[in-house]
Amino acid sequence: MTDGFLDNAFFRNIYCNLASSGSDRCAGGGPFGDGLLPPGWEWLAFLVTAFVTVFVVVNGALMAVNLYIWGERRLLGRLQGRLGPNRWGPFGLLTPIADLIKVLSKEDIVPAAADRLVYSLAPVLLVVPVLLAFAVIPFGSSTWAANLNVGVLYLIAVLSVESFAPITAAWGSQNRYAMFGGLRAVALLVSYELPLVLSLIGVLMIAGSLSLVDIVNAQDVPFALVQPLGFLVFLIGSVAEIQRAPFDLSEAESELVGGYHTDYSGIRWGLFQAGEFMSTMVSGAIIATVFLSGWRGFDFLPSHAWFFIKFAGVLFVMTWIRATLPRLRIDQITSFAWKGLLPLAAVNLLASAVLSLIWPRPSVGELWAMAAVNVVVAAAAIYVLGQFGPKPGERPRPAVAPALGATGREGAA
Amino acid sequence: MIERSAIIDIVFWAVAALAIAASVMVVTVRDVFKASLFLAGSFVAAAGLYVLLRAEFLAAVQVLIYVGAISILIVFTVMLVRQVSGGNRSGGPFFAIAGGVAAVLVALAISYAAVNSKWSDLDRAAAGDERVAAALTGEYQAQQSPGNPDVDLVKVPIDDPEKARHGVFERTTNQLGTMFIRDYVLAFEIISIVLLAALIGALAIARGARDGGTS
Repeated sequence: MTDGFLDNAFFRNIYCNLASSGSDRCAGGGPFGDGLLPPGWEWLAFLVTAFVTVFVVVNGALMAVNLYIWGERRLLGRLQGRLGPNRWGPFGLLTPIADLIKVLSKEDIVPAAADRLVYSLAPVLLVVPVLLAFAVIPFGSSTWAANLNVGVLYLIAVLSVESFAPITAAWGSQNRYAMFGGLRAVALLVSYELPLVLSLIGVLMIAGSLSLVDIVNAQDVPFALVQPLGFLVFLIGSVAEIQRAPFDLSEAESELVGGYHTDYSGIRWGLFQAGEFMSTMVSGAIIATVFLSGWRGFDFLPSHAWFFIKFAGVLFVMTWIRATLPRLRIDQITSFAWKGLLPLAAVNLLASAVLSLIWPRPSVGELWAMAAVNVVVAAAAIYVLGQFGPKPGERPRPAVAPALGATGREGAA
Repeated sequence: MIERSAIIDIVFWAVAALAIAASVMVVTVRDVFKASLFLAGSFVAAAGLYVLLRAEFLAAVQVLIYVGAISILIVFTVMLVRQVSGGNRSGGPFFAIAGGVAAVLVALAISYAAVNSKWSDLDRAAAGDERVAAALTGEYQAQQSPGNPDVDLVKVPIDDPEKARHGVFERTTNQLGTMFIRDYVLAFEIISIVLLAALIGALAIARGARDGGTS
């Protein structure tokens, strides 16, 4: 086994206090000197360390999501000219606790026609991948649960499993509204995953590593400046992947009641809610880490504070987008992904490949030079693409399958 | 007293049991939707096996492509074809025999590969035998052969023992990338052409239906 996890001071403290002295992994020993367990019980120390880590990360994420839900509701209130939740506790801070008790004590209804197994599986499929994603996010200069050498790929892979949740929920409910919500959700998720992944490759080429820690260390200049086009595509793609407004047509309440979770109630609905907000948090953390140089900043604040500031900033922008933009139609959403974001991501990939051929291991000055070139490329690409898109007010003829459409082609078929 | 390798063994048997159970469910469950969910589950278990083999890159790609993309498309297709929800029709004895023959052939192929792989070398490399590790991994270095003006990249065994020991498993991503664009570049390019052809084919089918072709 690799002992990379012992690079982290937190794990080393736990492990080296438990495991017996003499283990070469604990050179220097733990703060309490000798290990508490007799020799030969290192496996137990390993298991305890792993359990504590997982416990802290999972529960930390679940606590943080409550705080975030409160923050987002307050902010949405402000942005929409109302107060938001402010009754229970100071500034309404206890509202999420009250909500949690309410959700837990509600009746758990399973529709008669529902497929019980699939129906119960769906919320789990949403929450588990998001919790797994928290494992690799570096919250501070040496605070992470795991520094995988394939970190970014791990994140993308784990989060792609999330697309199972809406479709499983839709199938399990056996309900037309849920079915349409699920189909829309999957069409959207599959479309936006491509530009999302492509926009990250430029970053990987400059950093020369898939590890999130290495990527942060490589950001002498934040990659949002070095890769403006990639940053823009990734930001829009993330908002789409987590299906928030303006991309929330899979749960459009004016058309589909509640989309794929129409039939869910009680704690199952609560899990959907928590999962959606947690995936927003994961996206915010990924953007803060990969494009905004993560925990790095100036010395007057600790690294965790820098990470939190950037993280909160990204979440603020996402909430702002949600409060500002109206919902898009399904044809607008998919054509935006395939005809808008995908070409932009490809241009970014090409420009980054050429630039990293010119400057293979960029110094700070070369990173600034890359940033300058990429800003020009981004502006040119967006301008050129804008010449091809639909003009304001123009409504393209929707491409509808003959069986579903109202285009008058049924007679011909 | 339990070694850490024993924990790895427990995890391996758990993951292997999960993979086999999920695969059996895929072919025995009547509901096609559930079968495709179990298929995704067996893909995840295969990714777990890759992690145990310390091929993290392969594991992540397995989840990303097979679970996140292919299984999703299968489930999507199943949802659009609602008639299958009640259970698929039995194909009769011909399909049972053909399926059995295919299964036996695949099992034979996998057994052949498993028996003929030099697992002992990998075990020794993992246990810290630097010489074996160096021979297994190697490193690309620029070399100039006499008579040839071009500098060529040649794979040479790693001399540094520390580097060799970590080299086997630490940087699989870089090794795979190098292999793809050097040793297996032809296969790599042919696959991209096949994918492009599939893409164009899908476009042609979709357009043909819209222009009043075969619909």
